[in-house]
Amino acid sequence: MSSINPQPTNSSAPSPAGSAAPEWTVVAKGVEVTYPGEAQPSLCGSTFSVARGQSVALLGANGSGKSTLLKAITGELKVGAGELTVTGKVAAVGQHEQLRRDIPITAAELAVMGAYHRTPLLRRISKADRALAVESLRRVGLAEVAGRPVAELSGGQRQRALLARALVHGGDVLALDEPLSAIDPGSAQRIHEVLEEEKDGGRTLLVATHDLSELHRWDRVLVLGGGRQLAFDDPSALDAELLEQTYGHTHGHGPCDHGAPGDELAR
Amino acid sequence: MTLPLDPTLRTAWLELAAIALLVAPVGVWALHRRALFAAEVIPHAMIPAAGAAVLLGFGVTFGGLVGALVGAASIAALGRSGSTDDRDLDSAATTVLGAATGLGVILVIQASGTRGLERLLFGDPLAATTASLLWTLAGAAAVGSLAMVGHRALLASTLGADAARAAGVSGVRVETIATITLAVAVALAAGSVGAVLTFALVVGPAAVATRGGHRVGAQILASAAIGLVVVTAGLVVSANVDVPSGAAVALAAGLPGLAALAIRH
Repeated sequence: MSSINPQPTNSSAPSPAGSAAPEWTVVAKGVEVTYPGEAQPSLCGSTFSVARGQSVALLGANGSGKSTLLKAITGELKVGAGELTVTGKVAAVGQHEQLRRDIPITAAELAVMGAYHRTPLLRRISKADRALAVESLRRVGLAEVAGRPVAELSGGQRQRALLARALVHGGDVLALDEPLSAIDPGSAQRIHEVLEEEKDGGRTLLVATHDLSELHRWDRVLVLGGGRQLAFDDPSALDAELLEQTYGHTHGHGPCDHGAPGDELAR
Repeated sequence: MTLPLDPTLRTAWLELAAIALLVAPVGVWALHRRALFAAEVIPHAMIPAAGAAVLLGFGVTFGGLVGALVGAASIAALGRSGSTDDRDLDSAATTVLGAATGLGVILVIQASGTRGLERLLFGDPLAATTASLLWTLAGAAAVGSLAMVGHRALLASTLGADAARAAGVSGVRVETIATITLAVAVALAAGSVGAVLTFALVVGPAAVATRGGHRVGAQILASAAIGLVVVTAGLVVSANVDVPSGAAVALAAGLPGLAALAIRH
């Protein structure tokens, strides 16, 4: 049975680019996060390390703390206790990002938005960034619909357009919240291919997902339940019972109220 | 048929044309940002401030501008709910509308009687002067420039909170700038042609322009063009039929939207 490794795990992690000493990009030590206005933390005691060029799948039922962790990594939520160190910039796509469909914007304009953060207010988007947006759309398979309004794209196409925006954004860490949910198999396959390319290029990937059939694609799997970390391990080392318990019932009477780590597995 | 060629009509036409240009960006963005009702309420917020300004010996324009800014700030502050990105501008605007209108009627009638109230509500395009025209043109240039500079931030924040974060845009900052811009534009227009005609020119052309086009910039240009057409049509009708010019222009501003609705159904 898998267990929580309270220390940053690195012994079995694939060494990125064959380097001897991994370069950690995300290091969490006992991270606790509470939403503003909430009394109880939604995530507590999360401890793990992710090296540059590693991919990590965040697993757990809805409300388990995956989105909370990703929001802490992007800086959207403050870490209340513990320590979270992110080295480099983070590009993110939120869960089921709600793009208003009544706003006139094309897929190309959406992708170019990834360059907004580095474009001075009075400057035009650079030619290089426009070219990068075109290239990113090509990579996610949307070159032919670049000029089409986002409102006319399918759910899978919109998700790929958002991924293109994240590719244009750049940075060291890519944080995606359920990019593979409710999309067609073709879109999912294309997203997996692009993520693999990004990983090979040295980008660190943190991706929340419910897709248990594709766990072999990830270097590491972080399992959350009821706001607590249940496992952080190699996908092949994960116990099927743990996953069954994680998705078989909700791990929560309330957030972070399950006592010591591991209790859940003993029940 | 009389065209707006004599000096009075020409100045009125230029004033209304400048107002059409001034309100085109704020109308389109207010519509996309779902802040149209707030845009309607801001001119009403000018009324008590204008009345108070007259009673205290200040100018109506100054009072109106202060009232517009206070009204816009109140709506933005009341409409923002706690810790979330959600906002409820409609109920906030309704609250401001009731209070401002009641207080405004009392103060303006005290200051300048019912004639003053009528002027604030309905204005008189034929009373436009070169000075008011220059103010409106300056405002149109300022608002147009701000809309161009802030286009990316407005677009990202209007798309959604996640899009704004990804673009590195502060939603609160954009909201503040957008609200101030709306207030200034509305104050300039309403100070010249009254609250009712201002709202008609903010909403009418924008409502039609946003039905088409794949870019917000194109919609703003279309809204300005429609605005120019409706103010010209309204003045021509007013010059040839014995109807008030403000009412004729307001009617002309609303007709394209009504026609679009009728065609849709």
